[in-house]
This record gives sequence, C-alpha cells and structure tokens, in this order.
Amino acid sequence: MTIPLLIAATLLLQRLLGAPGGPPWSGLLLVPMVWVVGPALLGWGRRWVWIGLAIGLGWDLLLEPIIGPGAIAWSASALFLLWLASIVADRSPKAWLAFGAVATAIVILVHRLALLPLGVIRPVGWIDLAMSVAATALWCFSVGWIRSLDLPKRWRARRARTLR
Amino acid sequence: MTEVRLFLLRIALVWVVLELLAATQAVTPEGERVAWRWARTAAQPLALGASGAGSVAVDVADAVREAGQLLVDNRRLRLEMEELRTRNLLLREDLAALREGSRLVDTVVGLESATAVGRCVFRDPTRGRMEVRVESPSTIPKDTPVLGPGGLVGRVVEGRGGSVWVQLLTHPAAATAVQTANGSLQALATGTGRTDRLDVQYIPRTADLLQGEVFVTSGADGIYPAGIPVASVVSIRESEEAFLEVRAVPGVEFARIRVVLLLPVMAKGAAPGGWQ
Repeated sequence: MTIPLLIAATLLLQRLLGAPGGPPWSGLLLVPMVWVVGPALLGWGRRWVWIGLAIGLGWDLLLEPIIGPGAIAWSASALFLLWLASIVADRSPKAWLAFGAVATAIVILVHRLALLPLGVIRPVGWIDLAMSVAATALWCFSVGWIRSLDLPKRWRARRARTLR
Repeated sequence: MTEVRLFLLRIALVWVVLELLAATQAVTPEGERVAWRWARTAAQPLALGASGAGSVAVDVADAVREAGQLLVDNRRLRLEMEELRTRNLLLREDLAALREGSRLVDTVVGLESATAVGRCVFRDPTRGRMEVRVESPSTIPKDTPVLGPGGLVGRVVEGRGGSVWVQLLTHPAAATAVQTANGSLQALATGTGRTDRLDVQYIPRTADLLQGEVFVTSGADGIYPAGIPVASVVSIRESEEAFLEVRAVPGVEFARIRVVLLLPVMAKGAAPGGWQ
C-alpha cells in the first residue's frame, strides 16, 4: 500500500511543480519517472508495465486535458526499460541516470506521437526536451545514488555504534 | 504464442483502446469529436463501396435486361434473316426458272397459244416421273408432249387441275419413235430406268451411225411431233442380233430441270415450227 501512496504523492508533487509562481523549468522534471526506472533496474517484473500504465493514467487525469496518450507514453517507456534492463547489467546510479534519460525521452516523444492521430500537434522543443531529459535523469540518478547509500543499513550501524 | 508475445499483444490492445478513449475526448477545430470523424472516415469507403455496388448492381441489372432484349432481337433478326434468305433462294430459283423458261420458249419456234409453261415441283428421274405445276385454265390432256431445255422430257400421264404428272423418257416403260437428224435412220428410244441412258433399238447393223449423233423425234408414235431432240449417241456395239446395240444419253438433264413446255396442240398431231 505504501508504493501506491508514494506514486500518488509523486503525481501530486508533479502537479505542484506546475503550479503558478514556480520556476519555469520545474515542469520539465518528470517526478514519477523513478517508478518506471526503479522497478526496471531492480527487476520487479513485467507487471510494472501495467503500473506504468496506471501512472500514465494518473498523469493524464492530473496534468493533461485528454486521458489516454499519457498512459500510452508511460507504459511504452516502462516496456522499453523492461527490455533495456534485460540487456544491461549495470544497476549503479549511472544506470539510473541513463535509464531516466531514455525513459524521459520516450515518454515525451511517444506522448507527442499518440497525440498526432487526434489532430493535436504539439511540436517537440528540442531544448525543452533536452532539459527535461537532463533534469529527470538527474532526479533518477539522485534517487539511485541515495538508494545505493543504503541509508537504513547505515542508520542501523550508526545506532549500533552509539549503543555501545 | 509465447507469454511475452501475449503480453505485448495485450499492451498493444490497451494502447489502441486508450487512443480510442482519447479520440472520444478530443475535439477538432470544427467542433467535431475526433472519434466521430474517424468513424466517418472509416465508414466513407464502405459507403462509397455500397453506393458503387448499388450502382454496379443497377448497371448489371440493366445490362442483363438489355442483353436479354438483345438476345430476343438477335433471335428475331436471325429468324427474319433466315426467312429472307429462304425467300431470296426461292426468288433466285424463280428467276432462274423464268430465265430458263424464256430460253426454252425462244428455243421452240412457232409455238401455239395453247402451249403451257410448267414449273417442275417434283422429280424422280430414277423412277422416271415428274410432277409439274401448270397455270392453265384447261386440263392438260394425257400424252401431251413435255419439252425441256435440251429436248424432249416425256409425256403427260395424268393431269389433275394444275398438277400434271409426266412420264420421263428414262422410264422403263417409255418408248419414243426417233430418227437421226437427217431422217436416214428410224429407231425406237426406250427408257432404261437410268437417268443418263436410253437404249436406241432397231438400228440395222449396216447403218451409218457415229457417236455423238443426235436423235430427234420422228412423230411415228403419234404422240410426239417430229424434230424434237431426244438423245445423242454415246456407244455403238455390234452383237449377234440383227440390230446394233446403241446407247444414248438424253438431251435433258432431268435432275436440273426447272421449267418445261407442255404442247397440247401437238398432242393432237400438229407439228411444231422447229427446234433451234
């Protein structure tokens, strides 16, 4: 139950990032991307593609006028990362960085493609795309780095030292 | 299908459903739902196809109806053509008969007014008989001589109104008194039952007779007037008999004869003016 709550929290955070008064670049960061990159790198299985679909639906509900294309884009990204993780052995924060970059590019491009048949042409701003990719990749890298620190283990070790 | 493929197929199906879901929400600049436009675009070829099929069906029905009418017309025209062809043949036959009759009339000099022209409607040369249709107010008497192109044909054996039966020279029972053209030899030409042969009898062995010599009627039989060509000699053979065996071919081609002349006056003993 914790993970769905966390996912919902990231979606709400994404909503808040786009709130008026925030920095203009804040909307370029795709916060829920960690829920696509993480399960792919940690080997949580194929069902996370459906979770990606659900994240996309949530994204559409909260952030888009049309429900559907976001779900397609997020699930496509999750599907691609699932395959990518099967051929890439690296699970370091650098892998989080690369996977985050790839997943972000896929989400943005596939979302544009899914909108094309609807007659909605949303041109790809390559600078925005690059910034979004970079910001999200760094966000994923930071999550991966923090996870690699294994803070609970350090915390338990620290507590053990202080108890002595 | 492997599990992975099934999974990918499911994902693809979900994507399609999601795209359709999005299409139901998206609106075109004209205010039309995108899904409705898709449906219309997808249905347009079907509608065009249905319209085209209807048009084709109407055209096919018209074509079938017209083809049927054409067939009927074609059959009617074919029948008319056959009828016209038959009429043409009959007319050509009539024309040929008229020409033949005209030539025949020109051939015989000094014809009496009672001379009738008959149209051959049936011939059976092998049995030596012929039916002739005559447009004559009076009945043609028995033993009336019948002439055709080339000479003597035979004599009337029965007359029933406009229909006259003629016994041909080739009839086995027919006998005609003949002589050579110069009258030096008298003989009797008898039928053999064959269309191309007459036996000329009672010609003495000492007679001066050559192949190709023409026999004409002598009038001695009291039926045929003198001077009508009958046959020409084709073979002469001596035998132990007192007379020569002479065979002659009739001057008339019985199989091709169309028109004949019936000479009722001659039947009473009058002689024609001559044969050209």
